This record gives sequence, structure tokens and C-alpha cells, in this order.
Amino acid sequence: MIFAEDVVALSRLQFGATALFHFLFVPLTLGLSWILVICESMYVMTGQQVYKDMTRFWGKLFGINFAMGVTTGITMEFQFGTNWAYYSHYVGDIFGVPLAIEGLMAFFLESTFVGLFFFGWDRLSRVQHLGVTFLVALGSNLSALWILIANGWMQNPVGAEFNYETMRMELTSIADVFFNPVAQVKFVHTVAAGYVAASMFVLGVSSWYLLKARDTGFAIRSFAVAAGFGLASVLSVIILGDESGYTSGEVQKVKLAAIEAEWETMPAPATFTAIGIPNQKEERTDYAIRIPYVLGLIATRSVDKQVTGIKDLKVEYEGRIRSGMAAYDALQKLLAGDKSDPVKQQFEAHKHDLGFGLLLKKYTDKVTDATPEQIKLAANDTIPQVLPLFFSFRIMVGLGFLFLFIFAASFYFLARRNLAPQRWLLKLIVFSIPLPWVAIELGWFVAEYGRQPWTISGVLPTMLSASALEPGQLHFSLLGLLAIYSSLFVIEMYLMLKYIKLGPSSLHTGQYHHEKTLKQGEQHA
Amino acid sequence: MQLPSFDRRLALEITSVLIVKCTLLWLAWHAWFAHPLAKDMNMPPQLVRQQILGAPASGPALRTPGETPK
Repeated sequence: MIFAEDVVALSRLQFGATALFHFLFVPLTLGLSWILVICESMYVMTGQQVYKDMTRFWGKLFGINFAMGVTTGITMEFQFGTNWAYYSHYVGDIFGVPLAIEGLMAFFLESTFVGLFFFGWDRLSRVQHLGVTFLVALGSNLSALWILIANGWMQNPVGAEFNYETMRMELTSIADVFFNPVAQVKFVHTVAAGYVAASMFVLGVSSWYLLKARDTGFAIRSFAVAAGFGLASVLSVIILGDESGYTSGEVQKVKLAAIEAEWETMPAPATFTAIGIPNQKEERTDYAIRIPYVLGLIATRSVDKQVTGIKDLKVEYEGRIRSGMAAYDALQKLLAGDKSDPVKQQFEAHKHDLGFGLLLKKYTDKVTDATPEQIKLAANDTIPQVLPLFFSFRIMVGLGFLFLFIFAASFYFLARRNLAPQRWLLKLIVFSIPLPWVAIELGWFVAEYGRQPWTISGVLPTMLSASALEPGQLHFSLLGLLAIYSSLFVIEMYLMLKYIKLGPSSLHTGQYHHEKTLKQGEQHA
Repeated sequence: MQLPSFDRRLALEITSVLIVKCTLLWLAWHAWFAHPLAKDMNMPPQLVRQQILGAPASGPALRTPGETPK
């Protein structure tokens, strides 16, 4: 065998851990930037000082998070070249474009305007400063767009062809890459999830001030902004998540079947397994509670189309593996110098299944001579582990509906001017602050783990993407990165908690809790 | 530009953290990632061919990305 599975697993763990840490910072930046736009728009429209104070205070927390989070994603780009060299080469022609644009967006647009946001209060007019805040939000969100275009291409590699001479995928249509339906759905779903996280953060901190009965005017206005923005965002997340399910049903059938633990192709419309215990070995779900029609409606938007089950997908993929063997055979001949028309035609006819042929390399170096048993084993590998996907997805969805309840209840009691007595709700919100991050990380896990065994769906298996490194090197760098990111996370928590405790008093306007208490103390003295 | 005292403190804290962070990331790059096999997302195609096909690197000369066909 030409690859070591432990190296692949360690490289995956390192990349996953880095992405997980990076994505702790990103959602708050995405959502808080728009909350700043809303607060500052209120300030520009009404001229009330409290809205300026809200923009400056939440802007401070935004600044801490931005400073902690910026460049934490850069180690993923380091890892592409070092740990995932074959992947990098294979996709560099396509992947490089959105990553380069993201770099320009992140560093030139976002960073420039973040500086102006903090230092431009006395130098710009109200409207000009609002424009700057808007551009900060736009820059942050556009950065996410380019990253998710790159990621969407890994899930649904459109607009590219494999070139056997350069041994890489080459771009054939930039428009197809940019307007990839998977990327578009991922973008709107992901940024909306970030808006929910930021709204819950502002709602939670404001609730804490309300429970402590401090800075209530400031807190109730912040609460109102977060409740409105959060309610709209969580509805978007749920609707766009449904759209994501539909897109998966179209182009990522195996991921959808694994998430739903749908082993058999059921008669249309497919039932949705609300809960159960998937048993991958026996290919069944124990103790399943099924809801009629729902999966069919989500995945096909119809009541008369089937959703293909895992067993049938495996049969389909066995066929693609055999086609991939023919592509592999032609590729070998082409690279050996036989460029006759029949060989080229054979390659053209089967090259879209080359990736499936490559799955056999786990079992044999002689792909073209693979036995039926080896083909069956490779077909089994096309199915990701169902159990973790099944439960991660359900926890994420369950949390989504909890957020809907929280934002709807917040909005309702706020509109009825009856929020203060609802201490149970305020406490629930404070304890729910970390939950959007849990849901977001689970969503990321479902998207990326559900793509296995591929780095690029149907094109390049993960096992062939990783560099041939020593496990020791990977252990050492993994521990080092974990230490760096854990330190950053601890510093972020320390600074955030410090400024949250200070609250708007940290603005030094003399209008808020700590400064008033200090003044009163001085007067008494 | 004169900043209020709390802003000055925050600016100092953030600047310190950014300096430490950039230093740590640079050290991480230097220690583990300074010699990527795929520089600028490119490798010699022979190496990729060896990985994908498990064949020896020797064989007919192949074009590298960007090279024009002869």
C-alpha cells in the first residue's frame, strides 16, 4: 500500500481541529457585524446616544472576537501544502481562485474598514461611519462566500475536468464554480447560522444585564435588536436548511441517505426517521420512529419521487467502480505513451468515474485486476459512518427549533412589554449562549464527515489526498496547534467576560452602571 | 488621536494579543509548514502520478501545469 491510514487519520484530525477552532470565532464576526449595522442605523435615524453606545459597546466585543479570530484560518492553508499536497495539486487550479479572492476580501476590505470603524468615530460623519460599518459587515460576509464556494466545490465539483497530462482538475467554467447550487445554499445557510449565534450572544448578555437589573435601558434595546434579528435569522436557517436537504437529495444522495439512515429505497413518498439507533453492520435502524411523507417532501419536493436508499446506492456505486477501473486502465495506457484513439475514447467515456476506481487502491495496487470482493469492499467504503451523522444532524435540528422558540418567545414578551417578569426565559437565554456554536459545529461535522470517503466528492478519495508524512510529525504539529488555539480561546474568553462584566460602563460616558455606582459611592463618602 | 482610557487599555490588550498570535503562527509555520510538498498548490505531475497510479515516477515526460504542449 502506498499510503498509511494513520497518517490520513491524523491529517484529518489536524485539519478538523483547526477548522473547528477557527469556526468558533467566525459566526460571531458574521452576525455581530450586521447587528452593529442595525444599532448604528438606529443611531443615524433617531440621533439617540444609547444607539451609538450600543454600536460602540457591541463593536468592542466584535473587535475582540475579530482580533482573536483573524488569521486563525491561515493554518488550514498551511496544511493544504504540507499535509494535503496531492489534494492541493489535484484541485489547485480551481481552489486557488476563491481562496485568493477571499484573501483580498478579508485583508483589504474587511481589515481596512474594521480600522476605520474603531478610529473613525470623530473623523467621519454619522452617515459615513454607518457606511464603514456596513462595509465591515459586507466584507466579513463576502469572505465567507468565497470560502463556501471553495467548500461547495468539494461537495459538488462542477465546472472542471481532469487533465491526465497535468494530473489535476482544471477549470472549465468559473461561472459554474461560482454559481454551484451547493455553494449558494451552504453560504446562505452558514451565514444565517452565524447571525443566529451573534443574536443569541447579544440576547444572552442583555438578558444577564436585565437579570442583574443594571443598564436596563441599554439592555432592553439591545435585547430588542437581537430578538428581531435572531427571529428572522433562525427562520432563515430552518428554511435554508430545508433547501440544503433538497440540494443534497439532488447531488449528494449518499450523504442524505446516511443522515437519514435510509437503508432501503422506500416507495414514494419516503418516510422520515425522527429517531432510532442506526446499525450499520446489519444495515437497519433499530427502534425507529418514522414520520410519513416528510423525507420525500424534503428531498424531492414531491410525493411521487423516490429517495434512493443506501443499499441501492452501493449497487449503483459498484457499477461506477467498474467504470472507474476502465478509466484507470485507459489512464495507465495514456501515461505509458499509448495515445491511440480507442484509448482516448475509453478514457473520455469513463473519466467521470476515475475517482470511484481509485477507491480500490485501499485494497489492491492493481486496480484493473480488482476482484468482485474488492469491488464490494470499495463500494461499502462509499457510505460514511451513519450513526454519528444521524445523531449530529438531529441534535443540530433540535437546537434550531429550541432557538426558534427562544427568539419567538423573546419577541412575543418584548412586544407585549412583559419581558421583565419572565425570569425563566432570561435565564434560559443566558444558559443557551453556547448552544448556537454547538449546532454550528455539528452542522459543519455533518457537511464534512458526510462527504467521506472523499475530499472531492466522487473525484478524489481522502486516502489519496494526504501527503506521506511521519505520524510523529503530525502528532507534534497537532499538539502544537491545539496549544496555540486553546490559548487564543482562553484569551478570548477572558477579554470577552471582562468587557461583558464592565458592560457599557467600559465606554466611559459616565451614564452606566459601574460609573454611576462609583459616583454614588463618592457622594456618600 | 486621544482615546478614552478604557479604549486605550483594550487597544493595548488587543495589540499585545495580535503580536503574540502572529509570533506563534509564524513559529508554527516555521516549525511544521515551511517546506510544503505542494508549493503554490502545485507538484511535479510525476509525483502525483506515482501516488494515484502507484507506478514508478519514470516514464514519458509529462507537461507541468502552465507548460504549453509541444
